[in-house]
Amino acid sequence: MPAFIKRKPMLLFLALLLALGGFFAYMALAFPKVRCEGAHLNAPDEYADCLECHLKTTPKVSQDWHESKHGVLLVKCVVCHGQPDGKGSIPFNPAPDPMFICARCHAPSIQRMEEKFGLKPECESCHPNHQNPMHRNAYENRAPSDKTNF
Amino acid sequence: MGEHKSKIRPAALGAAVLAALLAFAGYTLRASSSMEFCSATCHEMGPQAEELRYSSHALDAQGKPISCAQCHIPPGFGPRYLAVKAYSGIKDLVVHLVQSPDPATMRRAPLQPVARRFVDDANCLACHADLYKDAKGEKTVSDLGRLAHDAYLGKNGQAKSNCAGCHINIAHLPAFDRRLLVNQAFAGRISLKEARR
Repeated sequence: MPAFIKRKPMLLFLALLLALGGFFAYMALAFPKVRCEGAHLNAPDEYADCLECHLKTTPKVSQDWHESKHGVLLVKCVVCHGQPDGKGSIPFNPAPDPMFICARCHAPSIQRMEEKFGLKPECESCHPNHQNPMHRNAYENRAPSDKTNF
Repeated sequence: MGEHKSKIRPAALGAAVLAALLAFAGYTLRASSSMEFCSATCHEMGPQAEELRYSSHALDAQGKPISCAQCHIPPGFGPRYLAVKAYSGIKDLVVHLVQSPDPATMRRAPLQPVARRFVDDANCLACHADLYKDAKGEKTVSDLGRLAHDAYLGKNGQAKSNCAGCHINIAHLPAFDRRLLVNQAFAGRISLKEARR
């Protein structure tokens, strides 16, 4: 073995790199980081009442919405996310495009922000859509946003 | 004769060393999955183990206490098991030695998705074989639960989520999740414990 290392150090290094890469590739495939891919059950009667199911399946997002300004003013799920059956004017999207969705109501504010600060409409990074509770520190309960969709 | 001897000796020595290494690996694989290792001696999961005692997953249907490894490590000794043991073994050792975090002030929100990633469906199904009843086989699930489990089994749409994708806070409840309506009973048991102490 030592003779082999002396003769072909590059080959051994490549083999180690390949083994390590294979290990991480296996981890990524066998244990996916994103669990829920926005799949939906086919129960048409349940479509109108998102909250009833989602208080149980995605409790954090649902309750944060319920306590937020959007929840208090009853800006319901479908207003931004559309309906999973594809009906209505808003396409169903778990992560809606702020340029299209937020601008439907907040276009004047977006225009002011653009004029004053030259900001692009990436609203969510400063104004968490669901997590804006009225009686609590607005940014206290921010969930990890990169791995799961709770 | 001398040459013959010199060839056998290293082979025997190599075999002995390999056997010792395998025995040591087997021992450490078992020892590092124990409840004491996770919560008391080496791994900083004391609060999690304490919360488990007040959760619905403290005891199984036979009344035996459920251990960390029963949910958090894939079953058997297959590639999934070994991959998780290697991955989390190295990660946890590095974190333990480099950061040595304090369990009381640990930031738990970013840990949740990492932990959920390694909770295998097979671990859940070992006790919850019938998805329309509870683990004891007595109570049936709600209408909502029946619909969701239909989707999981592919009878009504197809959910791509797995068990831990929907069932969160079933055994651990950090302070920031106690306000959620679905966790009311669990949060109540924990706050009762804290009030009595």
